[in-house]
Amino acid sequence: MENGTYFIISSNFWTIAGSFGLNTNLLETNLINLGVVLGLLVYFGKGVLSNLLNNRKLTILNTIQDAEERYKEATDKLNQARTRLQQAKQKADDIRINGLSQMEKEKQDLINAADEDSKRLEDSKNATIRFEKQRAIEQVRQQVSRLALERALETLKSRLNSELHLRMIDYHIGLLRAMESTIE
Amino acid sequence: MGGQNFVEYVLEFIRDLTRTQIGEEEYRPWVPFIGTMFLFIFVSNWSGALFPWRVFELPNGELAAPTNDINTTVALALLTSVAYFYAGLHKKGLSYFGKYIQPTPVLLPINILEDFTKPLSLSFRLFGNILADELVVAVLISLVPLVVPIPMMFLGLFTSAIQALIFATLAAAYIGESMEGHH
Repeated sequence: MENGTYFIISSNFWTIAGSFGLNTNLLETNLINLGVVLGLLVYFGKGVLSNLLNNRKLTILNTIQDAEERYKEATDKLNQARTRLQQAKQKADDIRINGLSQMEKEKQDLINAADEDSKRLEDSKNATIRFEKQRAIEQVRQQVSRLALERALETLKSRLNSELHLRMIDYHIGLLRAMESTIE
Repeated sequence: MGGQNFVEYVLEFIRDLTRTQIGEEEYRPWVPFIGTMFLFIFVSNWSGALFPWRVFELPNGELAAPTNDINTTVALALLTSVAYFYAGLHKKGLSYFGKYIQPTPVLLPINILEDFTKPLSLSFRLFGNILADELVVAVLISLVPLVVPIPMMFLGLFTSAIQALIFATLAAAYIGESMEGHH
């Protein structure tokens, strides 16, 4: 009884199938509405979706491009820095070499100056020695001549008599005469 | 034509959703779970609303969205429950049960109750929304078959998408909540 009423009431609104099959009632299966809904959805949704996806793609491309540019800049800067480093190294080497050669030259100059000084000292030493030698020789000569004169005087004093004295004066006059004649 | 772009977009969306709810450090393992929840519910809802399922007649019952059945939604909600329990236990060990006494032990019965209300609310929210929309559209069709149901169908699409998002977000939030507090 209950089942009967249920069947009668509900058969106005919903059909109970009872077996497999296809429902071809267009109004009941809602096909038209669904078609409209789907059409509108696709129409508007496609625009929105493709906009969204395009934006995303552009953003990603831009980011990649930026990253690549920064990479290039970084490598450029690195290369520049490397060349500058090379140059600086070169300069440092030059300075070092110059320094070494300068050092050598200074050393050489010092050696030369020292040599000259020593030579000069040597010369002055020699000169002093010679001078002293001369003086010594002079002194000795003077001494010898004095001694000789003293001995001569003594000999004269011991041996001088009037005859020898006379002969000597004559000799000397003769010398003077000879000198006088030569001068004239 | 942008298929890769589209899939990447969906993945980023889900990842973002998970990361917002669970946090930066440990959201990665949960992205598949949340993604599955979201995509399953979303596709179920929309396919139920957009396909002409009534064309196929069955002896008992009908074809419709899977989520208009309480069994499906309860299953999903229970899965979420298990998931956040697992997350908490895996991260903190047995001290996870210490969270029932935070912030004060007076709230212990409320915290225990929460463990039951969370899956309940999740399942019923989803089930109620989808079934209600389907019923309203069916009634409108049986009354005025042609043009009037159309706005209702659009509303149904909108709310079912939102419901999928809400389910996924809440699942992620519960997981995040049970994993936090470890610092």
